[in-house]
Amino acid sequence: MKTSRVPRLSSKEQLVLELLIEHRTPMYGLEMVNASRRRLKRGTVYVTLARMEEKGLITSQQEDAPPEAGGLPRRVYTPTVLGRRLVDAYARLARLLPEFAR
Amino acid sequence: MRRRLIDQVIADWHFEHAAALARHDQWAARLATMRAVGACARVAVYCVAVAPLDAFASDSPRRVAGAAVVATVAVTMVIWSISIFALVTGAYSMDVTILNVVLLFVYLSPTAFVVTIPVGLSTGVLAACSRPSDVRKARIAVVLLAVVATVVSLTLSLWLTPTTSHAYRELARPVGGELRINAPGSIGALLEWHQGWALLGANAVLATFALCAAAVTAPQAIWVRFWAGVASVAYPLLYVPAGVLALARVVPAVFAAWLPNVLFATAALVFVGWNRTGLHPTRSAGSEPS
Repeated sequence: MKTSRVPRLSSKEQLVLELLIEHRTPMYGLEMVNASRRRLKRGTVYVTLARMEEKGLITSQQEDAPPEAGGLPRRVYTPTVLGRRLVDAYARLARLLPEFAR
Repeated sequence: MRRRLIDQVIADWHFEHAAALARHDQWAARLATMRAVGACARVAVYCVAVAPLDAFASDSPRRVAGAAVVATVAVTMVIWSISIFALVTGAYSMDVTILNVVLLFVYLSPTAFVVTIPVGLSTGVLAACSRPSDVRKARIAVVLLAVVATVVSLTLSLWLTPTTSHAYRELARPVGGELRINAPGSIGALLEWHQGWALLGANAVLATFALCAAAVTAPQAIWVRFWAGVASVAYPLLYVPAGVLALARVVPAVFAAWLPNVLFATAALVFVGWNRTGLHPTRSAGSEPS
């Protein structure tokens, strides 16, 4: 039997999407770490973001190079339509089925 | 992927560092540098160790198998490091050449694997199964792995270990002869014989212990898994005090040999009971899901 491929959402991915949706404007990694009140770590946030981008939940864009020479440009992230729908679906599911949410 | 992850950590550091310097806050700039070094280290660990494992293992059973292999190798390397320590501190009087050191590790490995395979299996299960659904998917695979591990351990114990242990002693030539073989019929030999059988049973006991610990759904389940992992790694150390008691004839040798397994089996039963009694809030009505 072939099963349908519904994207899975880990708690970290859900938190990232919620932050991005709440913020409304694109965010960069460190900004998300600061906004998450230490629930996201700077050592792992980019791994999570890269995985989410591969899953099509977010898109990224490189900022322009910083005005002073020597710095690397940062990458900013925005949620995709799929990401928004998925976080919405998970939130509804968690409300409907609290017993099975874990 | 690797470069892209590291680049972003560095970009963050540049901005944070520059902002701190603009505020003339030297300590904040130093803190930003330290944090960036820590973040780079974590990304490096991910790229070197975690990402290949993730790519290999797309489902729970394969993830458990992969994690068990990695954990077994890691624990074996810890045991190797004890031999390196003995070499460096001059506890062995062998000629230190590359060939001899390689041979030392080769001779040590079968004995080490008898201990490290059950420990690796247990920590692998705990690392790969982060929720009860993972345990449900992986439990058959874990049972099969435990059976295979027991057969491998039995083969090593019966055919390889006696020869390689002897070769290890001959090669290492420990100063003071502290690696002597117990005299036949002595309490030490009896203890060693029982411990050999107890270590074979360790594969099943530790695998069951890990599955039961990973299935715990308490709010702090991650800490249950963490401490269960620590306990699994410390499992071989339990043989030391139990053996001392047996050698002092305080407890029978068979009891001392099987005591670690009995303790871990009891802990597994406690985890099962913990889940069945529903002490965790997710099973109580109206609670918030986490």
